[in-house]
Amino acid sequence: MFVGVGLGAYAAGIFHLMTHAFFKALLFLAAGSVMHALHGELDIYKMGGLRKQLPVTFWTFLLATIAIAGIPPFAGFFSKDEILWNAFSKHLAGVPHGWNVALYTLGLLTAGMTAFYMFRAVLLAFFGASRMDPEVEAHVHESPRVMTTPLIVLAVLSIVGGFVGVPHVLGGGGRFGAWLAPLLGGEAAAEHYPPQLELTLMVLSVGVAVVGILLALLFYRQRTELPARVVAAMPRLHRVVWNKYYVDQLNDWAVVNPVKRVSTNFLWGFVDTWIIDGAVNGVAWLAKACGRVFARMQTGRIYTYATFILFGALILLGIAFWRG
Amino acid sequence: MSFRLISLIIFSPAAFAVALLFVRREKEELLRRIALGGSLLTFVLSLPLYWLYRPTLESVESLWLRETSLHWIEAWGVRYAVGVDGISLFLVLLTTFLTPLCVLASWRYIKDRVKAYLISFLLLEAAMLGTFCALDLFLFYVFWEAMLVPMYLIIGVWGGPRRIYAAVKFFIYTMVGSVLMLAAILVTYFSLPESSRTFDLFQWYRMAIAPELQVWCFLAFALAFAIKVPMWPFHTWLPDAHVEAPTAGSVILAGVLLKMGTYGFVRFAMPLFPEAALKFAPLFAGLAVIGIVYGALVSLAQKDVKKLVAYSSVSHLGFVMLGLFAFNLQGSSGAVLQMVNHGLSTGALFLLVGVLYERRHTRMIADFGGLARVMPAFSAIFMIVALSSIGLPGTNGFIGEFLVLLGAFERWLPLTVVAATGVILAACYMLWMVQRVFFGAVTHEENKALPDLNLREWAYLLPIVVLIFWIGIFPNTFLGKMGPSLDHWLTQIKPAAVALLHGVAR
Repeated sequence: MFVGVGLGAYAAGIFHLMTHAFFKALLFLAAGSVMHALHGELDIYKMGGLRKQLPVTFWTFLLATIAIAGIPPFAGFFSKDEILWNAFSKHLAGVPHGWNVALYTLGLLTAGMTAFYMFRAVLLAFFGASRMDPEVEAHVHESPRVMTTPLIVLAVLSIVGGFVGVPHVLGGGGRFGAWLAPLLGGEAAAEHYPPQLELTLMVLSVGVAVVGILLALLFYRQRTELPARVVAAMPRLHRVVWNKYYVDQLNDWAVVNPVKRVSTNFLWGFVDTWIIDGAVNGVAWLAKACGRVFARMQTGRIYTYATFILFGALILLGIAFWRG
Repeated sequence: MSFRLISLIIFSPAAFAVALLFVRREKEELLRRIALGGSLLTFVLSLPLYWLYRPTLESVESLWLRETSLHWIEAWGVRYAVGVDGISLFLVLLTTFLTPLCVLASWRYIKDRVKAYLISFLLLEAAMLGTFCALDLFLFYVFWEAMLVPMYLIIGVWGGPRRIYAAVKFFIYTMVGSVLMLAAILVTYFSLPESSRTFDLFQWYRMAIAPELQVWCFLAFALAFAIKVPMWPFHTWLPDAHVEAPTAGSVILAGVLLKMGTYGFVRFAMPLFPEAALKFAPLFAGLAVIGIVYGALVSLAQKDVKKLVAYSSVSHLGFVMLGLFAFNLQGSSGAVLQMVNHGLSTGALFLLVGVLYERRHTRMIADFGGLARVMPAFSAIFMIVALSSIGLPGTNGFIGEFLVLLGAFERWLPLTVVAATGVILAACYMLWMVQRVFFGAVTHEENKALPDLNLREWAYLLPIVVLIFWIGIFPNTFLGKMGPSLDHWLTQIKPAAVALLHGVAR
């Protein structure tokens, strides 16, 4: 989406925003349905074989996965492809075409990875033997209608939602872009590329998605020992990725913990308690101390007072002599 | 206004306090009912003020709802003069609105010396109302000081373990500022020609006070009010007083008493000494911003919910001060609205903390967790109030904070950028606390069977929630009435600004 908007291909961006809403919302809701069935279980390594027990959830989840992978004619295909095509063909002033190719390649690879990891989730959760805790497994049940109905509605939209934006090259009218044109002021189409190129790229992107799916099948259905071997081959990369590139840790280390520490130990523990309140209590202490000292003069004994008077008189006399 | 409605409002709580004297102290339930009835009656009496007050931009006279003033101490020119304008109107309503809720909140919490407690509370209400309505500086000072005594007793007698320290600190700290203000009042009074010496506020507005004198008088007034607000670094009495005070005491302290400080700036310090106010504006705007960020950061460090809410007041009141020292309509109306908002939201937070304390006798965040499962209604209300305190759009806090930032942005751009981080930090300390107290698993066995809100608690929480949304959605109910007064307020200060700029140019 951001690639589309970043390129100024606003219609493509908004189009993808819409189709994305269909299948991503569906994925979240279907995942929620799985969690509901499994009593809050989130770990896909503790699922497996759910396809039988949760048929509606399974089918809708699968359809959304196909849509997000960009397989035609599902919704994700049209919108994602339009963005990729824009990434390839839309020139920004002063940017060499090499950047377009790089951007396109990145998008293509990401699309392939999306297909891979989404099918991985489907395969681990819904296929194969069950890895559920026996206690959880005993209670597995399909979700009630109130939860499955939205899944079905979104699944239908994930299938047909892309048809509002079938591109010209496939004989469609690109109606979504046309509909937004009054708002966005119509974009200069990249006319100077032959339609064959656009079609070739389209086939390429579908091909990459299919490769992603096949790889997922290979890894998680055929040769299930492969993932462990890949991890063993690249332990360091795996650790970095497993920890989400350490972004959370970096944030904690660079922002959260210093703020907490400064607030607690310095601002509150030191400035507030010792400096400011220290001054306040210090004034009070000073007043009390003065009181205590002066109170000692009020002994009630005549000879003490007489001594003070004597000293006072001597001092006054001394001043008088010294000045006089 | 020939009918003395305002006086009636001020003195009806006092009258009920006197009435309580004649009820035997053992009849606690009756005492509570009379106090509740009295404070409710005061609220009902104060409501018509909203409709009676019809300001127009054409006449300055219409900006005030005044009673004919009476001689009080003729020899010194002291008069009994009371009235409200678009600024004090809402603070009066806030006071009369919060007091019955506080009486309800004290129903079971206060078990000891109920009679004395209720009498203190009603006298406190009378003094607060008097402070907001007084239009004679002498009268104002009398009410201002009168307010201290019942509050001192409420903290010192019915407070927590360190109540004596907190009460004495509160009393002396406030007193130090007040005495300086008294000195400034007298200095200004004696600077008037002997024949026309008066404490009448409107006369004082009209006279030109020499700039050198303004500086000293402004600083004396400002110190008294800054302690009350409290502005950083005069705030350390506040967490102690709040934590030790009983629930209702904290509610009034945060809800109304802190507003006395900001109100003092609006009504007295700034329009009486406009040139000095403008001269020191950078200082006060700076202190306000320090307060915003500092208060928020220190809130983040707190382990006690009540102390967290107390420190958050330092931050919130910083926004009010920043809005006032923006010297424009957005800033000042945001500030006055935010005074009301803070009274509602922070008042409600203290009430909610009180609900928790009554059940568990602790306020430490670590002693809770997962309460949303046990007390769903309580948690929902707490969440609404917390979000309003953060300033979520749709709630009162958003309107106030947004207007303040809008106004301040125009005058203090870099400072306002820093102040805006306070909004983010507010979300941090508030939501983090909410997360630790309400979400996750129930970690303490004792919390598993806590009862949810009872009818009495609903009765004092729901009205505040209604107002939170009302102000958030229809702010014009409030802004519309305060606008003309603030317009006029700005004209009182702006000429000084022009003069000051000319002075610089020359």
